[in-house]
Amino acid sequence: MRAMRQLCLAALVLAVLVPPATAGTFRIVGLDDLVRTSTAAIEGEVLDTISYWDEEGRIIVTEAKVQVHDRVFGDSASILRVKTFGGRVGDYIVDAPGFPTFEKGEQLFLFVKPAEGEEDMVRVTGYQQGQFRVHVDQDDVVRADSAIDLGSHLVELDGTSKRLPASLPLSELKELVREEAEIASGESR
Amino acid sequence: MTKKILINFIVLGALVASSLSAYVLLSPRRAWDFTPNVIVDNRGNPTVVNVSGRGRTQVRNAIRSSAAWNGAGAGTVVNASLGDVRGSRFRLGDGIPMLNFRDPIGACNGSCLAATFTGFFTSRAGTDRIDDADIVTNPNVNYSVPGDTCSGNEFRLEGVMVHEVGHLLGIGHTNVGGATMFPSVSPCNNGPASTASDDEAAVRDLY
Repeated sequence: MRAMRQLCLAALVLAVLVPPATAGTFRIVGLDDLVRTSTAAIEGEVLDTISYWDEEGRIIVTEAKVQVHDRVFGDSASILRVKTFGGRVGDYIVDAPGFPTFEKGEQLFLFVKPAEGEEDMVRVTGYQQGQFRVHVDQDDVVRADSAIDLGSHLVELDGTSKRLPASLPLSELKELVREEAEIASGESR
Repeated sequence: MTKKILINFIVLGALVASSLSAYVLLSPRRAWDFTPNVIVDNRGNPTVVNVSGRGRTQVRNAIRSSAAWNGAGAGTVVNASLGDVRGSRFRLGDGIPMLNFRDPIGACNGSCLAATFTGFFTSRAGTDRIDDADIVTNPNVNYSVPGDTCSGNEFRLEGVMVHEVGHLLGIGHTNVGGATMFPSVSPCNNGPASTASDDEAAVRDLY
């Protein structure tokens, strides 16, 4: 029993210390950046995902259909088609570390913007930084956890501000986003 | 009882030690079964110039230098040559690894500085086989090369690209500070252009 406890402790230490492998290099974006460069922020559920080679056969992309349950700011369709890079077609995999990933059935909070050159499609703003996974914790609090992998290659430039925590209650995240959207709206008037 | 405690401590110590000082390979484990020749083309980013051996020539030299990936004791694991990728159609799976200083597929813009895409076939057992990997970069990022002055909003070209080539080879991020594959870099830091013993251990594991 004691040995088991020690092994569990070791596994916990490993989980904390060993970062998962990722490979993109991204500038850290704050909440203010996310709000100002997004057309909407939504809470929703992934209905389905499909991966395919793009029209010109250059790279595998994945499209997730997301049912919108709540729009925190901006306009969006009730079902979003969200594009990301990477995926699997047959026995060939294109790995695109650092990019958002989707799984059918998961609950998400997303900052989105139109995908360039893709009608009716959006992309997640700020790559993994604009994606939060929603779940209920052991205290029955609905939380939003950042999708950023611990090993993401992130760089902080001069002037980065209002960085979001890695995990917070969903209601708090929504409130922060609403406040920032109001500030941004006031600035643009 | 004492023996049991001792064994538990040894197991725990080994696990913690491995987590503190170990490189990480990309998952699933993958490697090239031939030596990739990365074509480096600076066109697309006005801050990557090629005057008097600077810019893309420095990147090529850094990638293939004995101080970087080829000096790890695993032989030559990567080559790099200057080339023109504008005439080549960007395609994962065409077997032509590229380092583009532009973004032909629109994947890396906004907050993205550089992204490495790896194409590989799955294997039922053992190591998956990489057949292509392409690096794209955000053409709006400002790079500097050694010898240039460097501001807080510029990145040292060689360091960033040698790091990305580490991913191209199948290596993930490490938590060993000072290694090329450490997951964060500050502006103007060219340290990642030279590999550390942790990076070299990763290469020897894979190749």
